[in-house]
Amino acid sequence: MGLFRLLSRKNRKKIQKVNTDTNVSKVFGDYQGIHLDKSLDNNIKSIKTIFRDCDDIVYRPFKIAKRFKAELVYMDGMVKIDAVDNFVMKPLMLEYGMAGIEVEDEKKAFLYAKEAIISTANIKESKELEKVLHAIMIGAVVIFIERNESALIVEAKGWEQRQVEAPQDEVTVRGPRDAFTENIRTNSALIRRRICDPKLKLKGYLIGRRSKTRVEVMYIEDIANPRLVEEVFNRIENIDVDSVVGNGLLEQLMEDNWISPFPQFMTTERPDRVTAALLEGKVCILIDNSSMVSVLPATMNDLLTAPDDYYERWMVATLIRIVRLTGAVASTVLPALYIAMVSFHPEMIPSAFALSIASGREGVPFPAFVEAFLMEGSFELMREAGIRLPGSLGQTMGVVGAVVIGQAAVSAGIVSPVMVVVVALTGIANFTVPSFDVALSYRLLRFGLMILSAVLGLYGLILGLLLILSHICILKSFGTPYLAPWIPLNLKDLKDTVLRAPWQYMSYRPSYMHTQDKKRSDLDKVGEHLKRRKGE
Amino acid sequence: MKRIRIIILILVVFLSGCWDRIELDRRSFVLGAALDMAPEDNELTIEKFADTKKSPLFMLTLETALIHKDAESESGNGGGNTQQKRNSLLHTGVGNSFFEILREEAKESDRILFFGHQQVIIIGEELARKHNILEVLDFWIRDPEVDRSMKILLARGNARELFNADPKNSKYVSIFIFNQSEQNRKSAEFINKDFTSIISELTECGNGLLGSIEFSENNSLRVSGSGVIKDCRLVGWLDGHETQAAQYVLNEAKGGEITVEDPEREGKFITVEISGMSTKLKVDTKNDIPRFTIDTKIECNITEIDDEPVKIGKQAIASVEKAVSAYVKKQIKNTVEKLQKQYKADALGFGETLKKRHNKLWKVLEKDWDAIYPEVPVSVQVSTKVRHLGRAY
Repeated sequence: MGLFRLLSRKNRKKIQKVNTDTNVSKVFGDYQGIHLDKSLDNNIKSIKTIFRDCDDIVYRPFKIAKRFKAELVYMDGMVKIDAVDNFVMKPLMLEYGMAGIEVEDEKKAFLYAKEAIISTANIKESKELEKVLHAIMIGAVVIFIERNESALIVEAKGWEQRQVEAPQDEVTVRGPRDAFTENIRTNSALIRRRICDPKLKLKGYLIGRRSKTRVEVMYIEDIANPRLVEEVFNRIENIDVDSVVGNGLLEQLMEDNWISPFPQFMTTERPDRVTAALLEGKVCILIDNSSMVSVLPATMNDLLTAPDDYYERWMVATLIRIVRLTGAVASTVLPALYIAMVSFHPEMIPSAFALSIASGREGVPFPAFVEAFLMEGSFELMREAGIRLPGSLGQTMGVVGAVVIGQAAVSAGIVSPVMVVVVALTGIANFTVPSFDVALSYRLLRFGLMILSAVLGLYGLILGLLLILSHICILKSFGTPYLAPWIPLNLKDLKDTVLRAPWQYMSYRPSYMHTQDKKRSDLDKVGEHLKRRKGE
Repeated sequence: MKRIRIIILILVVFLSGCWDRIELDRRSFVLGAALDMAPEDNELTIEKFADTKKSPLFMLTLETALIHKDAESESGNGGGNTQQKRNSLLHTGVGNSFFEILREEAKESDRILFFGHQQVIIIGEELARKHNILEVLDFWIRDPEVDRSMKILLARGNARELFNADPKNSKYVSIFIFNQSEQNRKSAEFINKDFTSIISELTECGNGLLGSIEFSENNSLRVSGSGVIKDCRLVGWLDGHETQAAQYVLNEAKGGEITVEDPEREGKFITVEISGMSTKLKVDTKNDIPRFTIDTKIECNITEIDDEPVKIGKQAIASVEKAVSAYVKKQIKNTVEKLQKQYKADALGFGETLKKRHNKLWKVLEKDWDAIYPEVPVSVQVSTKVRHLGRAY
């Protein structure tokens, strides 16, 4: 913790504010302040020097209206070439584009090209070399014209990319089936389409000394707590890496406590989840080339809720939540409890069950905790192998693993049958946790608890649980207590925890978010929605 | 410094741990214990105490579960074969204290005796008559491992023999006895008290009733009737019928059936089942002579009428109620009289009631209570209400 603070303080001094995409200084710092030359040849020469040994740059010299020398530069593969052909090259080169306009010199040609000829929506001009370079790097087309000190930057980004597809990891029964893609613009549009409000703000950054990855922060201006938003800006601005490889890196550099086993961000691939979070006053971070969006602050409660909770009716949703909570607890505690009971406290097991466990364990050469580690270990092996295996083999692996490790291990006398049941239950219970990140933490903690209960029995298990509990009691994610609304307790906010209250009673946003706009609706009075329906 | 502290903290956990870890399969589950007087002509006795001429006091027999891997499946596969494989082991030893015997028996086993799942303690008749039961049970009272919900029963005769019974439905005699005791919901004829309540009852006044167990036909076992305890010693037996009456008075009957002769048709019987009952033991201390009144209210359902289907009218119900009341009244009176006159044992808590209600008088009478008790006048009132007649057809 101290180390991280030290690091970030150091960074804070070193880095000046890096702001929005219009200000790209520092990004191409080497070329800061250099202006373009009047001569086309000089400009092209300097561009070619900078991009030497970059064979995917395309230079295309041509003449505007057969008269004025010009050159078009772009990065191959990042430009919609059809659009450039039809709306840039064609009107400029063929005379009909200039028909009826008296073009005296190159200056006029530049002006006309910009204002009247090139028919794309996004066109800029710039005199600064670094902006031109940046434009080329992100997939714009740059046109240099003889005797002009500025260049035309035509936005024509376009490259091969994945379509919006169904979510892979967060599957729901009733929810929408679109998930984020690798394109940040598509992702922000998916969110914008769900919240039709100009108060939904988006602020962009370029992060990474070399990668210049586009990172965008989205929040609803009059809901989100301004101090939270400011803190997010502050932390993003102080990130200093040479490349942002995904959400994970950004989250780990921004989180409050890097020594904690618990994730302090909610990472999701579902736009509907992000939307719901934004409306609760949360802030989300989009990263280019990542099909995940990070939502912050995250609480344990958020990480244990799934979108289906809100699509199903409230009684069913509550039942599902109880099941999921049980699953979360079981996946952490069950093997440890088994070890403690079998090795230390057999009097806690009902008599008949104790006898059958004992006869099952007869002939097993290992103590219960070695047995448990063996089985849990082989389960983790299968799981890790399952991810890495080719898709068609994955299914087979599951069956083979279950049969081989389960049945054969029992008949070989390595483990007892009850242990297999415990491991299988634990494994399945772990999959009920909707957030993959927090499920991983539970898996990790499970092993810690197993060691503790192998050493100290139930006493050790309770000790471990107390340790975890005291840790998450003080853990904060961007200033929000991790266990909110349980700790600190707020009775009103409990409506969306284990119980998922009917929508009529959800008219206040969670108070632990300290939102500016506290109310969602006026349906909070009992029976109000019925009155309205009757038209009273 | 901080690092050293953390290392010490971790070391403390690992160095101090594991000391009482015993795997489940390294334990020998004691399911039941039979306590007897040591027989003088027993082989064990003669062998062990050949040198000293004193004969030992106690004999202890433990039933432990025989755990082997195929125990479950083998007995399952038995199918129609009634010759079930025995799943328990018996250890018998003699000595002057039970702990001594336990240590002796532990030497014969490769496992550690574990009392956490003990189901029953059976005390032999002879031992119960000669020794203070609390003293006999002292080891179990002191041991923190013991399961406090186990049953304590008295054997009519030798306790050890009971473990040789062959209950057809169960693999372990002790578990069979435990489950049978739990059946008292259906019949008030036997007593279902766990270890804790018996110990507290005996320490408080030393009087009470303990359930009893005996052989039934087919070499099986039957929990029925009770033993009367006076000053922590067995003084006599009550049969099932009397035990039922005693439980009425103690307000512990949860069910049970009563069969009475039909008041209107001779030779025909009507059976009712008790669905609820409450008893109040009242004391009247006029002229400093305690007089007890047992006021019992019974609610019951008619379950069987020994006749052609008949419609029961209001009058018939009233006469049934009257007959049941009279029957129960007689039953209670006989039992109380037996306890008062024959055993002179205050097993129904008359003294306790007096102590609680009229403490001043109790303090005067306390010393002579043993002499006063058999002569105390007791009157019985029973009122019955029939609630349901069963389905009409």
